[in-house]
Amino acid sequence: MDGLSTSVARCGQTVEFKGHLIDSLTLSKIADQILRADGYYELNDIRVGTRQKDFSSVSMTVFAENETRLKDLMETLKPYGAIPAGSANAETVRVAQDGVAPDTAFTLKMPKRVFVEGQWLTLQDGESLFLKILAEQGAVRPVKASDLRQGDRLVSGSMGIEWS
Amino acid sequence: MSALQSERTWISPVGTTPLSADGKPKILMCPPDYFTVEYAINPWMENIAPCDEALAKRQWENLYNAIIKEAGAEVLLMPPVQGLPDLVFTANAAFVYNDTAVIAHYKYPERRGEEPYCVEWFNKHGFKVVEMPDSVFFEGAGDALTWNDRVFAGYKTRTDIASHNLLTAATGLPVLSMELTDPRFYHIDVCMCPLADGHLIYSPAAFDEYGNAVIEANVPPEKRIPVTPEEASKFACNSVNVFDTVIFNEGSHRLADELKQRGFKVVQVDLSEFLKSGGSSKCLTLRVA
Repeated sequence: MDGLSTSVARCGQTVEFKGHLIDSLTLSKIADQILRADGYYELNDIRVGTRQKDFSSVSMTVFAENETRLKDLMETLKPYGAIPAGSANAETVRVAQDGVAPDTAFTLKMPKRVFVEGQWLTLQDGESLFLKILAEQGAVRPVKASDLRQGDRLVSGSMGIEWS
Repeated sequence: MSALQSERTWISPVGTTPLSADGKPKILMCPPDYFTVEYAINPWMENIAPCDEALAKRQWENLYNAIIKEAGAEVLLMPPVQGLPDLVFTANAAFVYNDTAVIAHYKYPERRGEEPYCVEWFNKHGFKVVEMPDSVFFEGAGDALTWNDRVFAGYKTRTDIASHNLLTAATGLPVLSMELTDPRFYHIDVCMCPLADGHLIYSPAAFDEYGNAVIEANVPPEKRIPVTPEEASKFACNSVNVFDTVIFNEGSHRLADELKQRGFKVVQVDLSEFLKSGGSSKCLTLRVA
């Protein structure tokens, strides 16, 4: 979503929400609050719970005209559960079987196909990428499902991820 | 037996708790031995006449008797504690569902002294006690109401929305997060009351367009019982419901008539002294079986 001109000076902050965001209309309310304050947002990731008791999670970058307005907007969003990216730990999940990613593992969004001159061209080797945590090296590395090994620790959900 | 009672199988809003063995509904109350209005932590407590403590005791006893004699529930008592005047409002002590009691963590320091007594009571009575992290405020059944298979939970004024995730994690119940937009209705139980058989008393003016849309999406029109802001100001939504009996503060005659038409038995009790503290019949009770 990029409702306003990007030519205006902008300050952004990535925030995360987790909870009963859809049935409670909390996500709609958050989006409306941002737009009413003359800000705008870009959704980085959204995970919708599949059962009523499941949580949904959202990562969004919120933009405002300047630092002061961004700070005000962050205060407005705090009661709705906004957590600045980096202040909540990412959730993780272990790989149970070689080459098989758990359903809840975070998937890097990669294009699958490109529509060129009236036809879809499929990306070669278009496997999904997962974020594997390499704790000993203090790093995270994108890996293909086929390279996953039992016991690998992957990022899940969408909390604790900073987007550029 | 009323028409409502003859037609229905009663479903306990708190599920099967450690106190459910004999099948009798049970309500936790705390005698108002030390009740007074000595600080102001909601708009009702500001600029009001002093509390008549003797009258408050008589009013509490009338409510106690109505619950036992009119509603047929058993009342369990939490021992009062000197210096904790609001311990009398047991609705805030915890949210109870099945074997779990999610204990309150109060926003205002004036009430935090109540928390260990609540933990002690629920531990002693066999509940699995769940406590909120220090940074997350949650004010018990004052801000979390079970309706059918889900919970309407208030947030922003006293309770943090983050507590709703923990509530689901502790009980398995889905939560509908409802922003409380009017500071007079600082807990959801002063502007909403689920009743037996899926009925729901609520004050539309206490919620914003999103909250009203959530109610309308979940509660069928024939089960909704909206009240006016005037009725809500008389704490009409702060009702005790056991089986087909609904007990609330005096003065909401239109609501009483509507509930009777729907098959409920209505008991009105004067709770004027507790209104000075921002509470009424529901605030003075907590369903524990």
